[in-house]
Amino acid sequence: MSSALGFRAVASGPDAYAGTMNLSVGRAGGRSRPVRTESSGVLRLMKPLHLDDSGQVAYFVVNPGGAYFSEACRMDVEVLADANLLLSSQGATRIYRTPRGPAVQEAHFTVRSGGRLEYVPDQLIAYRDADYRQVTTITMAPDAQVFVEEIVTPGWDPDGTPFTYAGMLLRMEVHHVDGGLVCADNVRIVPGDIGAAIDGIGYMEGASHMGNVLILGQHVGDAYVEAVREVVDTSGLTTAGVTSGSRHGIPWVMVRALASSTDTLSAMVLAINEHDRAVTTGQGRLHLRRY
Amino acid sequence: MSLLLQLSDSALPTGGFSHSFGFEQYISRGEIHDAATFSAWLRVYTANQLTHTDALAMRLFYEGLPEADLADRVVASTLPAQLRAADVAMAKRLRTIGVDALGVPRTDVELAHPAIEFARVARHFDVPCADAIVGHLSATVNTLTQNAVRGIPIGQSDGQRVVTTAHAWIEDACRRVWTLEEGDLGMVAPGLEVAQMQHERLRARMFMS
Repeated sequence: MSSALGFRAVASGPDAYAGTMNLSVGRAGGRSRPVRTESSGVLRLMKPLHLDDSGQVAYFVVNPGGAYFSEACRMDVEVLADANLLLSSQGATRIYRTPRGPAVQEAHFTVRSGGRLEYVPDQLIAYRDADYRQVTTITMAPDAQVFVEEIVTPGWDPDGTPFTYAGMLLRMEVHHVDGGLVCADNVRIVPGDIGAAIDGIGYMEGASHMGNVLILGQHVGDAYVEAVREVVDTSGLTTAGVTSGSRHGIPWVMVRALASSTDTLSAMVLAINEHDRAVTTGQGRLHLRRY
Repeated sequence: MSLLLQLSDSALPTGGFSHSFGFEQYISRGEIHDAATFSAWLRVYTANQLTHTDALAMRLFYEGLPEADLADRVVASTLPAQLRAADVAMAKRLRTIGVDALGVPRTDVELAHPAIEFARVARHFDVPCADAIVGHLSATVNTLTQNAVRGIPIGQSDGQRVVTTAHAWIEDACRRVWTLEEGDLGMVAPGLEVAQMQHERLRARMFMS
């Protein structure tokens, strides 16, 4: 199958998915509430929570251990007008060896006018011989807000050798609801192709973990970007970069960091999220009980 | 052939002279300090940025992907702000040269990337796609190496040895570009990109990116 954006690994047809999830949340009576919650196969949605008094609804997705042996999972999430959704996962997503072809995760988010999405999944761990493709698309209104992060890392290997996964392709695209690409992040790490160079200049440069944060919305101005730079500067991470832009009327800022532990990256992500919440919803620091 | 030589001449004012595309950040970190360390960076840059953005954008241009879509994809995929600015500025100069000096028809497609403008000129003169890609990649490698000669600095002979070694990497990029898909456009290596982002805050610098 080749979509307009062409990607070989995207599954075709509903039967191609080992797990699907369909979540839509709206706002009523001052609170964000579920409108549609469906899941099938290996993906499970836990019951909604309100972690604070902001009216934001929080959902945790369960990926049972051992899922994604060469399977495709698909998440479709819609945040309706003025609703506020926190979506996370219950534990790391683990990808084991995939002898029959790559494991695939597709996630499609739509955030309507005045809506807000925080997508803060646990880290993704790719074990020996795992081949993984992830395609995330976000379609947003120009007055919506989005905060997404991801942390990826190689899993423990019996020989103690790092980077024994077969490959990771991580693609995220943000589209304006009226069309046009706001930004696209497309990272490829294929240890077999790169060989020893994976530790060297340009690739992982001695780090094992990669963390990315992308924030979009009208609140992302110059002062906001400077504040993110300060958070990154004080994180102690030396291989971390911040950049920003605005396209089709939607400003964004992106952070990419390389490190050797999940903890240092998580701390940076949560500190950036704390700043984001301070200038948007006024919610306090995110507590997911797992850090 | 003579058109390609003209377009690939590093003296052509495409503005590449003022950009390091991130390697200056590695110089400031002490990780690029001689011909060997620059060569290691250039190899990764050729296998990633020059393959997945420059070469693939040229192939898609020749294959007739709607130009507005291609420009939108390329600009949106170039996350480091200095890189985006550099690409658009160089694209603008090359488009002007194409129109004013070479008689390429005007277009109002969004300015996105010099590789696309190189392809526009080359296609106008019926240069085959594969030759155009070699021409643009060679020109870029030459310009980057000249910048390394000044910026590190390294000797001219060392620089020419790097360029000679790079021929094989360019050939590899030209082979691999035919195996890529549209969705691979703009694919990056993480370390390269972090350095390009960090360059935004490098205090004393010779290059604009």
